[in-house]
Amino acid sequence: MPAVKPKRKSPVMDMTAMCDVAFLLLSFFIMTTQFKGQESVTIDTPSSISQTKIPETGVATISIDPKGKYYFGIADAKQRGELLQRMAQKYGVSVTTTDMKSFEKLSDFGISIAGLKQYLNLPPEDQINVVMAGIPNDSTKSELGDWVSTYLKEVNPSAKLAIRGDASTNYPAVKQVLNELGKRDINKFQLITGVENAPN
Amino acid sequence: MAEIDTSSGGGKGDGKVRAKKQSARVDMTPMVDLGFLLITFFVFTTTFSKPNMMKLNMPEKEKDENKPPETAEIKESNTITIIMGKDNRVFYHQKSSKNLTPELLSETDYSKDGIRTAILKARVNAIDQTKFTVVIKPTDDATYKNTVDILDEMSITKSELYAIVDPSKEELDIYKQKSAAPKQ
Repeated sequence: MPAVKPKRKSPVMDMTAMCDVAFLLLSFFIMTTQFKGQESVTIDTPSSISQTKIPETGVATISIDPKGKYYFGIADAKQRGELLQRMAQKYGVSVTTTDMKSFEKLSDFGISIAGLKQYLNLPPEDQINVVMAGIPNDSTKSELGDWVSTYLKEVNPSAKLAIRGDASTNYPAVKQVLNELGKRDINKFQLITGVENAPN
Repeated sequence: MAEIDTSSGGGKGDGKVRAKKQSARVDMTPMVDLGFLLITFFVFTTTFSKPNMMKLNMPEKEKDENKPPETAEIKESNTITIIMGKDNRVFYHQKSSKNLTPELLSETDYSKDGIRTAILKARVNAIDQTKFTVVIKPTDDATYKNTVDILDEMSITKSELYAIVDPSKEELDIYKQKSAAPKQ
């Protein structure tokens, strides 16, 4: 009597189901991903127990790097062109539509308005290499304050103003912002922080 | 599953020359590989945790400089003043700045047992707990992180009355004396 042999199965596995799952996940991630624009400065924010999430639109952000340089950016790309136009008018700088297109791609910038035009005319691969000097924000001449008040008062009055400071930024740099904006009647701020668990 | 039945029924003995029947099974392995490769890429580039934000409202600036600022009667024992110094050092006192002496300015740290306990203790001892006020005075040596930490303590200790004020000259003098000495 011959031994009962188990039926040999071919080692080929049916991959269809796996493929289905893989592409399902892939489409999920593609749809949920939001690509962040190139940020001109890396900032390591301190953390807090606050649970409020930052909205995706209608936010203007002032970033303060560890050296106390100021950067400004607005979340809504469509409003950037209008903002630039209004600011250019105030400072008597002429801007072309090409400049505005280029400016709409900037998620934030740290250059005085006089140097901005030159920066916008650079090709994108050269823009990355430019070391930004920060937006001037002295008590005598605060371009930063003008950017913020132009945006909040003329372009988008419902927008919120967020301050994103680095953990090692010195307090006087923050105080300077609060003072300048206080002079322009902007007294409500949102401080951007990382996530931390509340103590029990 | 990924096979297509290519066998056509019937017509067995009609003697026609047929091409050899091939299974329509496709090897899916490279496709799955590619799928997972892309998934990995998207998983790594997605930012899941959006940053949080913390509300900070500053008082309005007084436009008319001749107008005396509004003053509210606050008993010293109903307040705690926190002075943030350099190298993550933090001091607190419960006196008015004129009566402050180096002995009355106590030093603590940003830990749970440090400033948080000090705030809670001061509040328990306050005469009117509903009007207990925290005065936050960051010196020029403090960092932004210190400020956020203290504001965070305000929400942890549920202190609703607090204000960020510049330190007075007397306080700065005493702070300088204290911070010159190393931390105990």
